[in-house]
Amino acid sequence: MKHLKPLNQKARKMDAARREADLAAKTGSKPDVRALQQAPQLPLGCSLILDPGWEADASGQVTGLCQPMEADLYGCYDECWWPAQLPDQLTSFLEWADKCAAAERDWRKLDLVPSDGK
Amino acid sequence: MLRTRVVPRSSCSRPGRRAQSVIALGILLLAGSLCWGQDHDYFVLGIHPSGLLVIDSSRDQIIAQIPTQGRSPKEVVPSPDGKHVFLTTDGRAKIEVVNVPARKVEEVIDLAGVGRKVNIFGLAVSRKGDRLFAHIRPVKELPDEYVALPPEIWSIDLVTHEKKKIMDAPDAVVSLFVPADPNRLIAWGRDIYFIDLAEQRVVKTIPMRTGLPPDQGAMDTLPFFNQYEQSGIISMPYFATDPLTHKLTLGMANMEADTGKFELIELGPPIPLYSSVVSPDRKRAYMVMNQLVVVDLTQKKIVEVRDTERTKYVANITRDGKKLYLPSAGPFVDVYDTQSLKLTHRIELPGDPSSSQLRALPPGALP
Amino acid sequence: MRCLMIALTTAALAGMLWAEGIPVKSQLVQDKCGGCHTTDSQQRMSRISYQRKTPEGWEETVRRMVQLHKVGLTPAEARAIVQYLGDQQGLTASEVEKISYALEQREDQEQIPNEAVRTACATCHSYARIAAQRRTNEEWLKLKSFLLAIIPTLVYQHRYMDWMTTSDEALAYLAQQFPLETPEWQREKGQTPPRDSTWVVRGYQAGKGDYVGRIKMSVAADGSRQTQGTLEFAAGISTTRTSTGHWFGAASWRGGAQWQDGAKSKEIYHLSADGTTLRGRWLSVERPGIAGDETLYREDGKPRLVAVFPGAVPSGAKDLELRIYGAALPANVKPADLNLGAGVQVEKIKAATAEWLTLEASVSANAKIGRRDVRVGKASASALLGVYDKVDYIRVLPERTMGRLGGIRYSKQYVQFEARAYNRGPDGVPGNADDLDVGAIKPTWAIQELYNAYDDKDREHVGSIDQNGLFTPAVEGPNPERYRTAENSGDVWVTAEYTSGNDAQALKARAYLLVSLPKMRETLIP
Repeated sequence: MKHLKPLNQKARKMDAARREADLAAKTGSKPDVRALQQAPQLPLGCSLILDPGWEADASGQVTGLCQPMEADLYGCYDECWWPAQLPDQLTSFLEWADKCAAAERDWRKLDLVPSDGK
Repeated sequence: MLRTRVVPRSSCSRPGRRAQSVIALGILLLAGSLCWGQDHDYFVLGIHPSGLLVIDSSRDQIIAQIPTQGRSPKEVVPSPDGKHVFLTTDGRAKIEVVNVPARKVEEVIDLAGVGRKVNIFGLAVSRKGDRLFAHIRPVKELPDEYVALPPEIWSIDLVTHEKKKIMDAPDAVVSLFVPADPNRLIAWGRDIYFIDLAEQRVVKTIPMRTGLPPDQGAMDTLPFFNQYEQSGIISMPYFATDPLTHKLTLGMANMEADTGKFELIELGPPIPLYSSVVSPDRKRAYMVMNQLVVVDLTQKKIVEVRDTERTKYVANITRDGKKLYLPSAGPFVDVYDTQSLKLTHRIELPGDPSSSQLRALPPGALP
Repeated sequence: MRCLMIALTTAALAGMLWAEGIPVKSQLVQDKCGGCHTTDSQQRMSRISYQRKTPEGWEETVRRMVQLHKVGLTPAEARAIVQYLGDQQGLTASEVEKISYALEQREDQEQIPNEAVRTACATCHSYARIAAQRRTNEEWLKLKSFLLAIIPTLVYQHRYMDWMTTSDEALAYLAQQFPLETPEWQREKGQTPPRDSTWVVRGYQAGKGDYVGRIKMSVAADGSRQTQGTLEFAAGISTTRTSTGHWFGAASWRGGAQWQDGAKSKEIYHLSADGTTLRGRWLSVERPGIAGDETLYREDGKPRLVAVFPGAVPSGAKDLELRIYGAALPANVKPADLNLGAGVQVEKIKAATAEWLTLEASVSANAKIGRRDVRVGKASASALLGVYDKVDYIRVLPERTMGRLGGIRYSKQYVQFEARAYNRGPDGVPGNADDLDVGAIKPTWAIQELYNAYDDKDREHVGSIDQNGLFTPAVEGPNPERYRTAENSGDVWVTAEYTSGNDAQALKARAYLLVSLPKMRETLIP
């Protein structure tokens, strides 16, 4: 298949095709997930989608996360990016943020989902 | 590609001489003000809980807040003449057609049909403005079960309103782009797919994750943030682990929207970044997340890294290349001067941006 | 190709008709769920009859039916449906034992036995969430469509891998490991839960210490259970606790308790397959993160030793008071009836009841370091008492943990740290398997900055620790005083400094604490 070559050509190294395919399939994520081989040690229930992460980033700290969280809350909520940590607007909780136009200002109006009161 | 400015013709009858000079002066001023009017940009941005904002870059003010029927517009796609903007709303479930001069939604397009729900990831309009293309992830809804169906690419005729499926979609498509060739559609997903609309199939693939040569690591891009209309270059940061050094590298993937011509530029050690926008003269690119990174495209290297006040998703740029607009991260759009890279103005918004796309309307879109 | 399709379809249909599926006998479930779930001639309901889950699993399912599919249920109806399904279609004692750590909200690190499952599934949630389910093959396969429907961005989040293919591999593994019908289910599904019963308790609450006691369980008119317990901490503080709750199946206890001081807790216990031992955890309602571990032994009239206080004694000590707690301890016990191992001499019995034995003992200077068995008459327990010569080092526990900001809109996730003293053990080398846990100590607590960024000031913002080791996280929300108006999140060291006895040298230890964001979505299984 045709493709455009990278600008800076490297010397080609003939490795086993399978190793390269594995590496190509598993690496190259943002920041450096490598198919969770180097995932930080986090308690159960913490997200290991480190993109950048909810409880922690790929290095296990909070420095790589969005700051403040509320500023980008809707980017996360809208796209169902943290299914086990946040409600989502794609399928399940379309009305969640209706009363809360600006998360950084109005976050106190956001409910814990699902609400208590069963 | 720089668009030529459109200067409206003035028409008038032929009055007396002094009146002629006054009128001539008036016409000059009017033409001048209209030229001034054409020198600046209008940007459109979706907000929470619903609505589309129009921002005038000459005054850095919101000049319209257009109500949408559904919540939180995500895709924001201006028509080629800028008189319409196509949005996806209510969880990427439906398409709303906004008439910008009339300041209202004039049509809602449903691609779900009976017994299905869809989420739309990827929306583009043809260069003639007569067709919309949508990439959908459909799910069949039975009373006691969901059945996920293979994703599809659809075409919507904006004149006849006919909707039809073109083909099953390639893998993990997030965005669609329409090149100059009317028979082509570009889908950016796991790899970059060039679709022949007549043959209804992928005819060319640029490998980003699969099928790569041994010395190129899989490149991770997140093609949700597409601001390319001011330069005509679709630009995204990518992250790849080099198979030889095993180091994670930051690079930039640039594609000319007209031709699909593709270029990869390696930039260096990883800086977490969401998006990239190329200046209209194509000499610089601005990449953002917790930093604002400036890339000199002639030298093909990073020349500036500055901390942003808070996390940013995207940046767009004025046609004169002088101002950057950085929405998200709170209910405002930050305006930066591209020379000093300093924040010069903060436009307050009624709500948080909902779309990860702050798009420029083409010139002449608004009077 | 067509023949193959016919064969596969027939096989699938045959599979459906044959062994599998648990008939639903509840009128309420049939009424409320039958609108969407079809019922066959054997009262098997589509989807429902082909899965088994924990009470938490069923509760999440029922909540989703209400929230997403707009099923109208009163809270009482929802509880009754979860009770029925948790009872009739739950996990047996042997099945639930393997994943109870997740139901008890522990911080355990999981060993995930399959790579496809680890990468395709254990990214958003724990492995235990999956291993807490049993499904037919078809139901496992349907999970893929469900996830793609509920989380349309799933393939984008997993874009670094081929999720569509890897998830097929994962589901094939899960279908094989966790089918609806298992040998444990065949063996244990007929078991019934305890009714009126008494239990001897051995517990531990970080920050307060060891405790023992007795709990009586009785059956209420509506089939639920009530418990009443009297508990005594090693330090001598007594308290009472009552709870009401339900058994789900024979092995899963869920209760709500109230303590003498008014504090409330949730009880999550599981019964062993042989029905003799109940193990689990209570979780504070008011202060998430505060918890106690308990083992409850069913009283059967036989003598039993449960605990010795203190749990470890120093060599060379004289006139030491020891208290032994148990059940059915012999009457008229004399020093000669006790054996606390070589070098520990019981001088006299100060008090004796069927439950408590208070004695005076001395420990010889050369008594062997390590744990030893204890015998009282015919009752004995292994490794119940430790002997040490000195404290060699201390540790802060948990050594690596996480708290969550909260207090305004969301609950804080507290962390109760404790410091424990250790002896190097019989081999004389500290830091290996034979080291002896001497017990909890009271050090001086502090929070220290962990520098992983220039001008890192997390310590000023994340929260505070009291001198009992309780870490209270700060409030959530953007903090304008911080760079980028960031949250009060961050990571720090929690340090303990301790001087034991006449030692001039202070012993120090530290733990890693990450203070992160609240969860804005409640999941009952991590």
